[in-house]
Amino acid sequence: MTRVINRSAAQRSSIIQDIENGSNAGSAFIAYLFFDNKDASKQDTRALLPSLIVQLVHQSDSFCDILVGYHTTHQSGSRQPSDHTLLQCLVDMILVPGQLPIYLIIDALDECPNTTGMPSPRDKVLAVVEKLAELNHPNLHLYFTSRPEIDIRTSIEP
Amino acid sequence: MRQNLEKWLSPPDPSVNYNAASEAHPGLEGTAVWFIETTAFTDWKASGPLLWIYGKRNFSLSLRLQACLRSSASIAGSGKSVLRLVPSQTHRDSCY
Repeated sequence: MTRVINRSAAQRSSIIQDIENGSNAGSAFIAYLFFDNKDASKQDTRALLPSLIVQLVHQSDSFCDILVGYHTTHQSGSRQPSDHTLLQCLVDMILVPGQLPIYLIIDALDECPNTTGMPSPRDKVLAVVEKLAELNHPNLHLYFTSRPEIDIRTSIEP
Repeated sequence: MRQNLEKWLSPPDPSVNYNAASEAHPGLEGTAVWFIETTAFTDWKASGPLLWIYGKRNFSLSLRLQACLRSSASIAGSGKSVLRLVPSQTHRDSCY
């Protein structure tokens, strides 16, 4: 179930802190990315997926083992993974049985551009969010913020 | 091995935004802790999968988020344990 809430910035900070507290107490995994329209390296899935994956890898040996597997099948890192492969890697981590909750936090999704490319970088990020949400996995908690722009609203709202 | 993996994927570093914002706007910590007691939030936290927070873009948003992340990191570094799920006074103090 998707929940859509209009809340102030201050309220969002409290959410992150609450989740972070859980992570620090060793009761959750957390990874986040803040999209940034002033930083070309933080505007698309090539920013989002590697960032989330590497943060998770640093928190769990199981996650590390999963990425090692992909590294091996990509000629020990001499080839780059596709977006599809990166998403599958993240899904593999989410599906590890018997683990702590995973919180993925994505801030300012509207700062991904939607004016270039078919699909645009924002379209691709939204597709990732949708696919992760569709897993409906009890261990996965997705949180993201954005302006209520029409393409984001259309993609996310039921 | 983790260093090799990180080099392979070369992810952007989210802490760059955090550090820059924190230095530019010190003291913009979060408030409204009451929200984490709402049903919408607790339901999402318990069962997921997706919570979308939307609103007019406000630069202080990320600053506040990141200020709280830093606050939490300092808690971890000090070795103190904090409760999850329960928005205790300790949480509030750590963020202000």
